[in-house]
Amino acid sequence: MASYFEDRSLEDPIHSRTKQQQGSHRAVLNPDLSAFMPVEETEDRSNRGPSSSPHTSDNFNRPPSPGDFRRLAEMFGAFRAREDAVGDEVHQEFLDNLITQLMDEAGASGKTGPPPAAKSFIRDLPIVHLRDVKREEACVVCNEHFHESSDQLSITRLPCKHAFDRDCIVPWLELHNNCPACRAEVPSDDPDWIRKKREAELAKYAAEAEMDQDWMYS
Amino acid sequence: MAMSKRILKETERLNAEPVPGISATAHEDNLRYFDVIIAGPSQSPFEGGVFRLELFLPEEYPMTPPKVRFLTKIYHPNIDKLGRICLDILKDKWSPALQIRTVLLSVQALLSSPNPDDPLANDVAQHWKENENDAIETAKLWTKNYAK
Repeated sequence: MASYFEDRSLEDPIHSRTKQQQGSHRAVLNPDLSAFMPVEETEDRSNRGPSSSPHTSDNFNRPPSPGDFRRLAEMFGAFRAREDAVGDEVHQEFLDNLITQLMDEAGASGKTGPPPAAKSFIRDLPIVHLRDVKREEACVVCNEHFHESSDQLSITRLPCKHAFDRDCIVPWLELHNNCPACRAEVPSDDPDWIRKKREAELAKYAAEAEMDQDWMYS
Repeated sequence: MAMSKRILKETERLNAEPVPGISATAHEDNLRYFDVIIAGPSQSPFEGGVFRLELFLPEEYPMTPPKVRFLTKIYHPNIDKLGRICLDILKDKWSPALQIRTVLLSVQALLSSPNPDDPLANDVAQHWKENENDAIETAKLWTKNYAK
């Protein structure tokens, strides 16, 4: 991927200045432009491990990932650190705002909070017939009463018994594994989630086993 | 998915049944952008103040939370100098069952009960913990000077 400046056969002013002036301060400017421009080639690949898809040239066509925003924010953060010495307040504030927005972007798009629900869980969501839904029940995502707006086959229920339009709940479950109404957890494929779940269960069994012993010997 | 329908419904209800002490007006040219005014809650250091905020509903709303920011300067341990708010439902505790209305109620409640143990503005939180009365005086002064 060529940079804005390379595309136009221009000298990249920041990059060249970086090289000239920052020789001894390169650690401060981490990552600098050269590190973040070929996005797929740098940190992303090492983070993704062996299953990562091969490098493709359509970087411009894919939606920016949270990592992209974070890298940009870090880059401007490095600029700000240098500005401290010479910069004026307006310039500082501009950079502050820019960094804030980039970090917000990185944190948005559902990347914070619980992991996605398991694919199999989403696939196997039950079909709930309209006649099995109470008249006053509404989908809390779209705020519509099922009997006024839903089709015969478009409703589903989570294990906690809360009903939703399938079109409303699936996009949520693809981001997070809980019920929008009561936050009851549903299964996830996320390895961290599975590990924590298992640890919690083991701890529970251990506690129960201890209680059984207490009962036997008391 | 009729998500813009949800936004319209929320906007209508905000206009028809406004929350006491809160107003939210959608921009005519961008129905996802709201000018918000929150009155400083009584019994709080922000009493008597009129606080302006901006609220933006991202494309993914309600799957992702609204973006809310104070535009009026405020001295509060959970609001930084850029107006960003430290509130869990705006981040990892978001649920699509929440709405503009509930979010703004939560922000209003945050003004009534600052939480210096979960700070965003570290210096303000420090001040709040070390000398709460003094911090409250500063908050009152800022309210008087900026929140009009």
